Formats: sequence, structure tokens, C-alpha cells
Amino acid sequence: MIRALEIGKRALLASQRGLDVTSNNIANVNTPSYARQQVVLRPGESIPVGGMMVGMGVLTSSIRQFRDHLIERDLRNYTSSQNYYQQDATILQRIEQILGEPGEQTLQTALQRFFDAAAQLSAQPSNIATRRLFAARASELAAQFNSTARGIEQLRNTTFEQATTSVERVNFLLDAIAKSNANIHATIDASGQPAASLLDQQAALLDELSRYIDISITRDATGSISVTSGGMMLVTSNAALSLQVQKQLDGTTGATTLKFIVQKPDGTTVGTFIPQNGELASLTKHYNETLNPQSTSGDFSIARELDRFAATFAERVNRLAITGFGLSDSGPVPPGREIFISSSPGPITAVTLSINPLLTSDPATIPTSGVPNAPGNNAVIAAIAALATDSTFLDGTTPEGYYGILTSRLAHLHAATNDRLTATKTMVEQVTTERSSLSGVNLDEEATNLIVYQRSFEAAARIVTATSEMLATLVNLGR
Amino acid sequence: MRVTLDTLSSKLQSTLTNLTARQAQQQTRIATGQRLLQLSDAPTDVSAIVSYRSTIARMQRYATTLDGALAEQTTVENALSQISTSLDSLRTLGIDALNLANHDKWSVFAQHILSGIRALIDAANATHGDIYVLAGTRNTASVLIPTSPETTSLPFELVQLTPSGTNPSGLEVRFKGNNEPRYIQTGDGATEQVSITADRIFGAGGTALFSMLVDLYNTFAYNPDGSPRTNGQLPSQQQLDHVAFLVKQLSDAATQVNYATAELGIRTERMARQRDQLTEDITRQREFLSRLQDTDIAAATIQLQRDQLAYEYSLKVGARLLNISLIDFLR
Repeated sequence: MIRALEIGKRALLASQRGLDVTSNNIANVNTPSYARQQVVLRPGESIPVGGMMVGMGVLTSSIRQFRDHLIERDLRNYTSSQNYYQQDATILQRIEQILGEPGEQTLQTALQRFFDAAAQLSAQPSNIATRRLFAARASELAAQFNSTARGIEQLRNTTFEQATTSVERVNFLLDAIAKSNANIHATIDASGQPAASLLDQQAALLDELSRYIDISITRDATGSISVTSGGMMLVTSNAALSLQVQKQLDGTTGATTLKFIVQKPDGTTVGTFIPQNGELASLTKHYNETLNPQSTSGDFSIARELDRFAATFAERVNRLAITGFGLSDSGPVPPGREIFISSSPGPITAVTLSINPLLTSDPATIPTSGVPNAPGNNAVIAAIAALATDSTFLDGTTPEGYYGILTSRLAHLHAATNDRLTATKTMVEQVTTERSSLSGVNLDEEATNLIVYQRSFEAAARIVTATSEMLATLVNLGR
Repeated sequence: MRVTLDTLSSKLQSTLTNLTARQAQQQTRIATGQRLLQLSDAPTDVSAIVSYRSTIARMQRYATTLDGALAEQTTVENALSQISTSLDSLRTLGIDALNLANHDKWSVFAQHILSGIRALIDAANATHGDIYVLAGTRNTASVLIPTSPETTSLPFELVQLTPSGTNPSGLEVRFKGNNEPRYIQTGDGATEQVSITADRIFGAGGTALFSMLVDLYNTFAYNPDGSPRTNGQLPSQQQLDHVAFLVKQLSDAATQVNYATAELGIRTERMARQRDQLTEDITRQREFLSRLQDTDIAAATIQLQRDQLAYEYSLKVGARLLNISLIDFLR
């Protein structure tokens, strides 16, 4: 009789566990990275009774968590890619905005205005008002180059700041993962299972980490994980390395590049970390290439192309201008007056391009004529105006044609990035659905479990009641 | 496949986000009239758009230049017309002077010739804006610096030199400009001469005609011995023959001016035609550009309505899906 009471008690406890787990599942229905749990029941051991083996009810063997590491790995890989392309798209979008495209106040508009003014001056080379207009348009063009290049420079600085902030977060996550390893190890229960909630927390940390860098994970028998990225083992057991952002100056080219140093907790440098995917990889690529004016790689660099554009433009205009005479130049040797100069020591770049201040203060000095004392001669300014259609300007095209190539390359790059981003988003959605399908909480399912465990609890309670009544009957037999 | 609450809500959220973004995009397209909201919207069209913009700007540049040149051509036409009229009057004077009845009035004719020379110089000094149209490339006052006996900064000036045997009046017309033509760019690699040089109208050095007119004046105003002619004094046969020769030369000069005027007229017409052609081309290029960069309002509106409808139904379906579960039926 006592055996029946034990069986009833075990059934009650099993139903209670089931109810606990179901409640926990329902409570975490919206918790990110939560993997649903299920009570694993097993029949109790049989004992011999009257020559027969009688079962001893039910036991809770463990609480199972529905988690597929392959799906999780895929999800993290795609998350890394998604964040990589998302960051790419954001930076390319910002470059478009800096260029003012598509819009009316662009480098192309400034170029057109410069050539319009040159053509007008070519038609009226002795007219002071037209000369002033030309000087103003040349200043505007220089200012447009300056503001565009400064915008790119600022974006590059922002990229560095963002990389610094992201690295701080990465370091926090690596540290938290190392700590979670220790906690998981400390909470392994009798069934050899660690606390599910800690696994969920660790999964959430890994999910977040995969946004910044590409990671691969290995698990040991104790439940600890090791995190590897860019060939470096960043987390081992309960120890984590940390990243440091550094600007590296190339003494030869003067180029500044971004690199990550891996350090031990005591500050010892372990090596250099090169992210292959995720937000940090994108930021590194754009800082070192797209936005780097000294980029030497064959990849697209808007900063380098802008500098090349500005320098070539100034050189071509100046090459003509130095052969010309202003209204007051009596010759016979041309004064060698340039139209564009560098506002700071060093070569002309998009940032330093500036108009010769002499021309704005005294427009009569603008070299327009090919011969001295001939204000009506427009040989030089006409040649400058004709640069607009000179297909040998740069890379076998005209100045505006070159601008077209620049914007077109940017557009194709941005569109390709958007396409990849869309594809990766779809993959993330699909894998998330897969994960959700396995690990997510289905309320109908949990409600059913709720009823099941409620009913089994009622039945188990009935066993105890019935056994109790039978015991009472037995006790009262002797009265 | 197990469908969980997260699956449903994620998909719904994703759908709603996409539809909202598409609606916002269509609304912006309709509001701004621009099809391209960012370069990546149509990367293959970007190059063409930049190219069309460049072509339009270039054509407008040429059209503006032609407009300015046409205005200058009108000034030159007026100057040539005045020169032609003056030359006709001078030629008529010459012919009249050869008339026997007028032989005793040559001193009076001389004054008329002098007035004619001055009128011709005024016409030759015609300006357009701040430039002298017949002064070549030395066409502003800043470079037309007078040297004695010149007194003005005009390209053509009548100066008084010391009288001599060959030039008893000592009068001479000086030309301080040059005979360099001026050009404007009227198309890609195409230029058009915008000026008429002084030598084209007034002969060698831009002063040959004036020298001839001073010669005519001297013949009328002075006797063969170089003394000033008084009223009633008759010319010699040699002087009569010389005037007849000069009148013939005047006729040739007038013909030259007429040729120049005709040439100018042809050039003006060509420029006007080019300008009109450019105006038409600009309209055509704008049409092409518009097709690439402007919103097709009808298509965008229909797309917006589709997206709004899809959004509305997604909300309805989502609300129903997420609202009901077995939990709602547990009592």
C-alpha cells in the first residue's frame, strides 16, 4: 500500500516538474535566444513483489533543452554577414549623401558652373563682371571639392570611433562569455546538464558577438566553449583576451590604417586580429580602403579618387593658365599665374584645392589671353573651357565623364551590397525560422502540456486519495 | 514544421517593415517627383543620367555663348550699315565733285569729305558692352593707350601730323587695335569667328580706306602746289583724274563692306540656326533625362495603393493570427 503512495507521490512530482517547465516556457515566449525546455520522464525502477516485478511509477530524469548547434552556427555566420553588409550599405549611403547624389548641389553641378563661367569669359574675356563670375565659380568648385573631401574625412573619423565603441562591446562580450563558461561549469546538475538559463544567456552573448565579428565555437565535455575568430582563440574556458584598436602610420606612404591588437588581461600583446566578417570587418575595410586617400589596393576608394580628380583638374587647368596673360600683363613672358593652388604645404588634394587669391582680389589678373596686351584674345580661357569636352582628361574621359564613372561605381557597389544584404537577411530569416521551429515556444503546444500535466496531476492526486482511503479501510478492519 | 509565436511575430514584423519602407519610398517618389532616391536604386542608369546632365549643360553653355555672340553680331551689323551709308555718301560726293558745275566748290566738298571721315571713324569705333567690335583682340580702352599725337583711347582716331608735300593737311587716321579675329566655341570642338577684322572692312592695316579718304580730302582741300584751295579755285586735270581714280576705289571699298555685311548676315543666320537647333536638342535631351530620373506618377501611385492594400491585409491577418491560441479557450 505504501508503494502505491510512493508511486502517487512520484507522479505528483513529475506533473509538478512538467507544469514548472511549461510555465517557464510560456513565461519566456518572447525571450531572445531562449530555447524551449521539456521534462524528460522515465519509468521508475521495478521491484519484485510476490514473485513479480512491479514498476515504481515515474521519475524525472532531466530537463531537455531544444537547441541545434548547427542551426545556431549557421545563424551566427549569417548574422555576421548581415551586419557586414548592413554596415557596408550604411557607409556607402553616407558617401552618396556627402556627394549630394542624387541631387542638384553636386560636384558635377559645380563643374558645370565652372565651365559655364569659363565659356562666358571666353566670349567676353575683357569683361570684369564675367571675370568676377569666373573667379567665384572657380572658388565654388574648390569649395565643393573641399566639403566633399572633408565629409569623407569626417566619415572616416566616425568609422574609427564606431570601431572603437564596437571593440569595447566585443571585449565586454568576450569577458561575459568567459564568465558564463565558469558559471555553466559550476551549475552542472546530477544529470550532467548545466543550467539551461545560463546556456540561454551564453547563446544571447554569442549571438550579439557574431554581429561584430565572425566566430567559431568549440565545446568541451564540461560544457565550456572556446571562441575563435580571425585565427585567434579569443575565449578559452574562463579566460578571455581583449582587442585594442590602433591607427598604424605607414612611414613611406603616410597612410593611416586601422588594426586590432589582441591582448592578454595583463596587457601582453598576443598578436594582430583581422576580422573577416561582421561589423568590424566592414568598418576596417572602409577605413583602410574606401575612405582612405592613401589606399594602395585596387579596390574602390572614393577618397583617393576624389584627390586624383582634384589634383588632375587643377594640374590641367593650371598647365593652360600659366601660359596666359591677364588684362594688365604686358609680357612678353607670361606671368605663370596658376588658377588653383594648394591651401596648405604639399600637393593639391580635394581638401587643399583652393583658388589663387590674387584672382579673386583682382579678376583682371585671370590669365585668359594667349598674347600680351590683347584683352579680346581668349586663347587660354577658351582652352580651359574646352577641357569640359577633353576626353583625355582622366582615365580616357572628360571631367564630367570621370565624375560619372565615380558615381556609377559607387552606385553599382551600393546596389551590389544591398542585393547581398537582402540575400543575407533572407538567409537569417530562414535560419531564424528554423531555430524558432525547433527552439521557439508554441503557445498551443504549451497550453496542451498545461492541460496534460494538470490532468496527470489530478490523476496522481487521485492515486494518493484512493490509496489513503484503502489504508483507512485497512486500519478500520480491526475495529 | 513547428510554427511558434516567434515565427509568426518575426514574419509579421518583417512583412510590415518591408511594406512600410516601400510605402515611404513610393510616397517620397510621388512627393519629390524623383525616381531615384539613391544612386543604388538604378545603378545602370546613373552613368546615363550624369551623361545627359553633362550634355544638357554643355548645350546650354553653347546656346548662351551663341546668344551673346548674336547680340554682338547685331551691333556689328549696325556699324557696317553706318559705314556702308557713309561710304555711299562719300562716293556720291566724289562723283558730284567731278561734275563740271561743281569744280569751283571743291573746298566745300573737302569739308563734307572731312565730316564723312569723322562719321566713318565714329561707326568704326562702335562698341558692344565694353569692347570695340572692330578692334580685333586689342578691343578695350585699357590697352588702347594713346601715344602723341593721339589723344583718345579709341581704336580709330583722326590725328593731326605735321603737313607734308604728300599730305598737305597732315591728317591721318590711326588704328590702335589689331586684326586678330576673335572666336567662340559653338559646339564640341567647333568654333565660330565672332568678329570682323578692321582690315576686312578698311583694307590693309585697317586704315587703307581712311588713307584714301584723307587723300581725297587733300585733293579737294589743296591746290597741286600744296596751298589751301579757296572757293572758286578750279582743280587741275591731274587732280580730276586722281579724284576719278579715288571714286573708283571708294566703289570697290563699298563693295568690300557689302561683302563683309553679307558674310556677317550668313554667319548670324548660321549662329541663329545653331542656337535654335541647340534649344531643340536640349528639350529632347531633357525628355530622355526625365524618363530616367523622374517618377512615373501613375505607376508610383498604383504601386503605393498596392503596398497600402498589402499592409492593411497584413495587419488584419497578423492581428487574427497573434490573438488566438489555445490559452484563450482554457477556463
